[in-house]
Amino acid sequence: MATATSAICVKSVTKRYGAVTALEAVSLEVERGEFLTLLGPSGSGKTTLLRVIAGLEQPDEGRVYLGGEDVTDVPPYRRRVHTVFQQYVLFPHLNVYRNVAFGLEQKRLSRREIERRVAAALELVRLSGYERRWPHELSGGEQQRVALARALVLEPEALLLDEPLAALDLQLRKEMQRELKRLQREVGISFLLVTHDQEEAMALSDRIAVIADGRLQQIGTPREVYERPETAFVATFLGAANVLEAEILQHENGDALLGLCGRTVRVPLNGRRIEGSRAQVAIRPEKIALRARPLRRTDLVQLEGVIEECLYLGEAMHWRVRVGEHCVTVTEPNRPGSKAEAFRDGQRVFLCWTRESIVVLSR
Amino acid sequence: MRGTSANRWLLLAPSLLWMLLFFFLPLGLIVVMSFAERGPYGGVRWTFGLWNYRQAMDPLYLWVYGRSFALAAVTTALCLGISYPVAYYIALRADPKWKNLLLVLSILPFWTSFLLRTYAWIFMLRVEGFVNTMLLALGVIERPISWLLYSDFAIVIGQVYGELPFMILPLYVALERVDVRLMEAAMDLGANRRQVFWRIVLPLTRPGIITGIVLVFIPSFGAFITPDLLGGAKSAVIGTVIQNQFVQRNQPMGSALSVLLILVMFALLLIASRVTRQRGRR
Amino acid sequence: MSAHPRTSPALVVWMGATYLFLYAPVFVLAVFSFNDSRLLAVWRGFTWAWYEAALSNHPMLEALRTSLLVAALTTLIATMLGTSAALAVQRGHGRLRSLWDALFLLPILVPEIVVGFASVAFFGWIGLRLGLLTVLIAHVAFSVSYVFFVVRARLATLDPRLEEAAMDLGADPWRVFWKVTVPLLVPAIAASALLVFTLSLDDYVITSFVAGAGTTTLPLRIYSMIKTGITPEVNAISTLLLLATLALMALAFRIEQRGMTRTHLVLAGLILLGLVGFAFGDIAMRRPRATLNVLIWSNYISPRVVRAFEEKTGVSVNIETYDSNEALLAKLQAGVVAYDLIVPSDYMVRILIREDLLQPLDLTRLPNLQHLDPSALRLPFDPTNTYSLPYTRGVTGIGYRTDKIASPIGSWADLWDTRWRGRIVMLDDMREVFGAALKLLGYSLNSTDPEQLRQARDLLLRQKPLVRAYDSANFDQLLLSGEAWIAQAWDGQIIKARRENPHIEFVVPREGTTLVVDNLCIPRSAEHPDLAHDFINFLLDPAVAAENMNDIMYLMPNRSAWPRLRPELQRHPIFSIPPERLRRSEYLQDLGPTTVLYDRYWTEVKLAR
Repeated sequence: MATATSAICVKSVTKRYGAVTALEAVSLEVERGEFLTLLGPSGSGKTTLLRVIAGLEQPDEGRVYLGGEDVTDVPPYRRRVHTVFQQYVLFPHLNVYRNVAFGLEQKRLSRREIERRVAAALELVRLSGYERRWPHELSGGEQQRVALARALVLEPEALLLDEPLAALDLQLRKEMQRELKRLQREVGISFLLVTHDQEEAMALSDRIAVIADGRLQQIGTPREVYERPETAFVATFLGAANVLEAEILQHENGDALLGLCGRTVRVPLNGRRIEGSRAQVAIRPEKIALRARPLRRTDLVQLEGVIEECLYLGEAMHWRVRVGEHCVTVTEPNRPGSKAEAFRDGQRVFLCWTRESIVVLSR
Repeated sequence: MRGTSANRWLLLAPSLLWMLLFFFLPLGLIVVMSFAERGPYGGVRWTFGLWNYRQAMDPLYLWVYGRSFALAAVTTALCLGISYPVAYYIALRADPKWKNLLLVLSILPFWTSFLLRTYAWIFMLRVEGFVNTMLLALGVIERPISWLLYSDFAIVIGQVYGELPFMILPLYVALERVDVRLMEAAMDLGANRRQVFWRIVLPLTRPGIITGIVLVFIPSFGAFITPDLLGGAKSAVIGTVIQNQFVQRNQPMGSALSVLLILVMFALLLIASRVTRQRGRR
Repeated sequence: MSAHPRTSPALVVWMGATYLFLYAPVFVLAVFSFNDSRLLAVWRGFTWAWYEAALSNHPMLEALRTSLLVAALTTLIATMLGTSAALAVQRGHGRLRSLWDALFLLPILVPEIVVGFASVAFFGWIGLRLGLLTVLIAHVAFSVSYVFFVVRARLATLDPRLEEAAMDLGADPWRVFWKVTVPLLVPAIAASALLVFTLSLDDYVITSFVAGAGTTTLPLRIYSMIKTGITPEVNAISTLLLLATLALMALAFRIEQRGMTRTHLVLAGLILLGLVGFAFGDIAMRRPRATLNVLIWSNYISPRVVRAFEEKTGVSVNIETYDSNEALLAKLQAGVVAYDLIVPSDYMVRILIREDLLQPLDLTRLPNLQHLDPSALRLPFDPTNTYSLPYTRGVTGIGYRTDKIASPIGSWADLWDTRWRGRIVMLDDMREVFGAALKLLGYSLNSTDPEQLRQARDLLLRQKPLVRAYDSANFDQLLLSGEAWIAQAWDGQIIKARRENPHIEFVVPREGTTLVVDNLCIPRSAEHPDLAHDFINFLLDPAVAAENMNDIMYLMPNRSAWPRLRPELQRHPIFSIPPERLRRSEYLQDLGPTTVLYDRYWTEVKLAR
C-alpha cells in the first residue's frame, strides 16, 4: 500500500540487535506535508525506526518507501530525507555557512546558487548574519537552527527530527516548538519527529504514533490518541489514566454492558471490538468529579470511595480514592470556589463521570 | 601538596640545574664555538667570525640540507600514507575485542632496539640478503638487485620502519576521537563514503596528522644511524656530516652546522604550530 | 550499523601488509640466527652455534652489563628529577608553566646528533674525563624531559577534589601527598621509568660521543659489530634481546590490563633483582681487578692473545675499536679519555707527538724489543722510538674477486673502471683515498700542492658515482658477500678473507701505494701505563706475535716470530711486491696546515652526489 501520496512508508520493519528486538513488524505511513510524531519512552525503538528511514540502519525484515519508491537498499546519502540529530552534530571544523552548504556542495551547483540557497535557509531559521560564526560560538538554540537549516536547505522529501529539543532548557524548548511548527507550515514538507515528551508531541503533531517495546501501539490525531487510547500503555503514557478491570456482561450494537466495581455500566464501544469475558477500561482523572453526596442523575456513573491521599499541586488538586479493590486518581483544576477544597483524608466521597468518559481498551 | 613557593623551587631546582648545566650550557657552548676557528690539527681557536656560516652557505652544504629534507619528507609522506589506513582500521573498523591488541602490535616495535631494527634491514637488503635470495629463488630477477642496500632507497625503508609507530599512535588517537555521529550526519546530508572521508574525517584528524608529521619528520631530518648503516657512508645527510666534522676535528664547523639544523627545525615547528592553531580553532 | 559498511577488503589487505612489513624483517632475522651458514641468506640447516658464540662473547656481556648499569642509574635519577619537577610545575603559576614546558621540550626536539656533539665539546671544555659519569650525565639530561611530560600529563588529569577531600577528612598536606597523590601517580611514574629505561638502553648516537674507555654500552658494541661484519652471531644477539624486550613488554601489558597481582610483583621483582645484580654485582667483583683499556683498529688483535694476557696477569683487557686515524685523533682530542694503549699509524704518531697526546715509552721495561726487525725501527715519524714501537706493517692495495672480474687488475685506475660501477669500495679514510688518487695522477701521496690536490679531488668526484660504499672496517666482508667486487684494501684482512674464498686476490698497484706501520703508543692520559708496558712487551714476545699474526693475518716486524707463521703468511704478498712498485710507494706524512685543505676536499667528496 505504498501509495505515491505518502512521503514515507514503512512496511512491517523488523530490526534486531543480537537477542534484542528493537523493532517488530512496524508499519507506518507519513503523508505529504504531515507533521507526524513518534512518541515513546527511551529504548522503545523510535530512534531506531528513524535511523532505518534515514538509511543509517538496515532493517532485518520489511521495506522502506520514500515518495512511493522502495529505498530499502539505497544508501543514506542517496535518500531524499534528511535528519536533524539529537545534540545537532554540527561539523566543528566548518563555520555556519559551510555547515549549511555541506549537502549542497555534494551536488554540482554553482557557487551563486549555493550562496543563494544557504542564505534563504538561514533566513528561514532566522540566522541571517551568522554565516561566519563557528558552531562552538553558538548557543544551543542557535545550533539547533543551524542543524535545521542544514537539512532543510536540501529540500528533502521529509525531515526527520531525532529528539531535536531534548537538550534545550524549558523556556527555549517552548519557543523552538512554535518555531518548528511555523517552519513546517512554511516549507510544507513532511516532518517526522521523534520525542519522549508527550506534551511536545501533542503541541506539534498532526498525528502521533505511540511506540513501545519496538511495537507500534496506536496512531492517530492527538485528540484521538488522548481521548480514545487503545492500550493501557497509550492511556497511561499520554497523560494520566485510571485503568480499571471490568467484566464484559454483554455487547451488542456498538455498546457493551460492563460490570465495573460492582455496578453495571453501559459503555459506547465506538467501533472497537472486544472479546472474552474481561476487559480493561481507562478513565482520565480530570474527567472524574468528586462529590460529598451522590447526584440524582442516571446518565452518570457514580461510585462510593474513601479518600486515601490529598495533594495540593498548585495548578490542580490531586486525590487518591479507594473504591473497593481499585485505587482511583482524580484531579480537579484549581478554580476559585471549588467545592473539592474541603475534602480531607479518610472522608467518604462519591466519584462521578459520564459513560462517554469510559474507554474500553483492547488487549 | 599545595606547598609554598619555596617548596616548589626546591622541587624544581635539581632537574633545572641538571638541564641548565648539562643540556643548555653545552648548547650555548656550540653556539659560541660556531663563530670560532679550527686549528690545523683540530682543537678550537677562540677567534670569532662568521666564516663557518659562510662556508655552510656553500652550495655543497645547502645540497646536504636539501637532501636531508627530501629524505625526511619522503619518509614522513610514506609513514603517513602507510599509517593512516592502519590507524583508521584500528580506531573505527576493528572489532573492539582486537582493538587493543592491534594497537599494541603496531607500536611494539618502538620498544625494541632501533639499531637491531636497522640491522634487520641490512640483513634483508644485502646483495646476498633475504630479499634478493627470495626474488632469485622465485625467478623474479635473474641477477641480484644491487641498489637495495647502501642507497637512498635503503635509508628511506629503514627510516619508515623505525618511525612508523610514531605516526600510527597520534593518528589513532585523533581518529578514535572522531565522533561517529558526524560521519552519519554527513552521510545523511548526501555525502558518500569517499566524501565523508575527505570532508569530515580527514579535516577532523588534522591535528593528529600534524603531530605525526612532526614526530616523524624531526628525527628523520637529523638522523644518523639509518643513513650511516643503510646509506653506506657515502650518501651524506646532515646527521652524518655533523658526525664527520667531529671525526675531522672541525668542531667549529660542526657547531655551525648543528646550530643551523636546530634553527631550521624550529622554523619548521613554528610553521606546524601555526597550521594547527589556524585550523584547530575550537 | 550500515553507516559503518563492511570493511573493504583492500583495507584488510593493507593492514596485513603493514604488519608483515613491521614484523617480517625481525622474524627473518630471528630465523637465520639458527642458520648453519656464516654469510648466506640461504637455509643450510639448524644450529645453536651462534647462540653459543654470542653467550660466550665476553666483550658483549661486558657491554650488556654496562648498558644495564647506565640504564638503571639513569632511570633512577631521571625519574626522581622529572617527577619532582612535574609536581613543582603543575602546582606553580600558569605564567611560568609554559616557560618550563618549553624548557623541558627542547631536549626532546633537538636532534641527538647535536646533543652528542655539544655534550662532548662541553665535557672536553671543562676537562671531565669521558666515562661512566659522562654517559650517565648525558642520558639523564635527555631522559628527564620524558618523565616530566608523562607525569605532568597524569597530574593534569588528577581530580583536585580528591586531595581536597583528603584534607577535609583531616589529612595534613604531607600525608595527602603520600597517601593520595603518589599512589595516583604510580602508573605514570612506572610508565615513564619504563620509557626512560628503554631509551637509555637503546641510545647509540649520544653515547657514541660521550663514552670513554671502558664504557662501551651494548648499542656501541653492536654498532661496531654491524660495521665490522654481518655474522649470524649478531642475529643471535638480536634475537635474544628482542625476546627479552618482548617478554618485558608482555609482562607490562598484562599488569596494565589485569592489575598488579602478587605473581606479577614477584616476577617483576625477581627480574629487576637479577638485572641489578648482574649490573652492579660485577662492579663489586671488578673493583680489585685492574682494567687495561686498548683502543685499536677493528680486526687487529687476536682474542686468544688477549685472553692469554688476562690469564697470565689477572688483568682484564677492554678492547675498543676505531676505523681511521682521524677518528682516533678525534677521540683523543675530544675530551679526556683513559685509554692505556693505542695503535696509530706512522703519520698520526707524529701528529699525536706534536699535539702532546703521547707519553714516552720506558724501553728498559720492554726486553722483547730485541726481536724487532731494525728496518722497522727509527723511522722518520719517531726517529728515536721515544713514543712508539712498530706493531704491524703493511701496504694498501686492491682486493678483488677473480670470479667476478676476469680482466687483470694492477692499477689504481681499475677503481675508476665504469664496468664495476656500484661494485667498487673505497676505504673510509681521507689519506688513503686521496693517496690513491694522487698516485694515479703520478704525484706524491704526501702532496701539499693545492693544484695537485684539486686534481685529486676532481678525480675522486668523478669516481663517486661508481662507488658503492666508503668502508674501512668491513671491506673484506663486502668482497666475501659479493656486495663489492673490487675494493681499496689493507693487506691482512684480504689475506684472511682468502681463507674463506680462494677467489679473492690482493694486488699492489703499479703506481705505488701507501706503506703502513702501525705503532703501539701510550696516551698521555693513560691510567695504567705500567700495565700498558707489560702488554706491549707481551705482544712483542715471538710466540705471542706469531699467534697474533696467524689470526689477524697482518705482518709484524718480529723476526723471531716469522718461522712460526702459517704457510700462507710465509707467502704473504708483501714479500713479493715488485721492487719498482715498492720504490714508488711512500709512508704517509704529517701534512701540517695542509690538513685543513684535505679535510675540506674530503668533505666535498663525501658530500657530492
